[in-house]
Amino acid sequence: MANETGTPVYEWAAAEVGDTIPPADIRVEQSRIDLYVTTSGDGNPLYSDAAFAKSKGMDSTAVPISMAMRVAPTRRSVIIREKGYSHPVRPTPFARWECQFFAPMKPGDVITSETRLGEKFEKRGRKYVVWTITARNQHGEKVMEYRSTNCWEGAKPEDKSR
Amino acid sequence: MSKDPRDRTFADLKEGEALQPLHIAVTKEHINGFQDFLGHHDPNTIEGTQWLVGNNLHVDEDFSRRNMFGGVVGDGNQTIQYLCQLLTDSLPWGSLVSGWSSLDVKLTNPTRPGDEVLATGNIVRKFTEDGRDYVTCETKAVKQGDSIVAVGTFKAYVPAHGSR
Repeated sequence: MANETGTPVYEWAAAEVGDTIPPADIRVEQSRIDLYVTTSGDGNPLYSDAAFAKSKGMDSTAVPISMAMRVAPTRRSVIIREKGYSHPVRPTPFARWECQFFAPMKPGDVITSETRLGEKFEKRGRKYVVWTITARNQHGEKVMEYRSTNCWEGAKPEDKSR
Repeated sequence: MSKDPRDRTFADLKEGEALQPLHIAVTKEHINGFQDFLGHHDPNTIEGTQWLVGNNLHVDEDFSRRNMFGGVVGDGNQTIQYLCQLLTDSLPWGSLVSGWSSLDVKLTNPTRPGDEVLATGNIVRKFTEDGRDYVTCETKAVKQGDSIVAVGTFKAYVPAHGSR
């Protein structure tokens, strides 16, 4: 199947375990953490008040867990493009996130992440892909490793009322 | 004495203890805002996401109406955020966000504008491993009181610097 420009669509059948791209760097910006605070409604002062964070024994403001997806995104769109495909223009719902954190992230860190398609499977009439991401800081320390599962195909009529 | 549960230390935590419930009234603005944070509104922020313009399930109403869920839904990342906040609002300062932690969240149903979501959880285990203190928490988020949107298990590192 191809899109309007004739580029084949990265359907589940085209996805291959091992699909990957070169790593990318993203800095942990305090301004992005501030945006997390204002958009999430999570007013934890550890994220915005460095003096308060230090009073609680931290080196700097804390980095909320949600920043993981911002500084080490799956970059699946780039994997798909580099493979010569286009991303399906339909929802590919997020189904599961399994994440392990190691060394803490800090504002100013530069996070280098690598993504590969780690697994694909079928369950109850739906087709899933699992992206595996490993992220390190500028010192080469592993800061996190996660598996992000998306339902790639298999929308059902009952989804409209879920 | 402070009533903020985050002013406690690891020693104060009890197995079986309930985390302070977190209530979220989901709105379009709330969903939109989180897309700003993730950078999904600006395809230049995340390389390769130009296809999202006009086709964002969390923002574009026409696209969403024609697709799987029949309307705009919240981002799964945002639902995960509710569960993370559930822990960081109840556990000693710095817990979960100081590294050495893990989580496994299954997203079972979408959230939609107008939903009333309640995130709840319990400390099911406290233990020390390799010199670090941890709690395991079982959590869930439910909308309208009866539809589970997410279930999550967290192993949260509780740093020793909590104040009293």
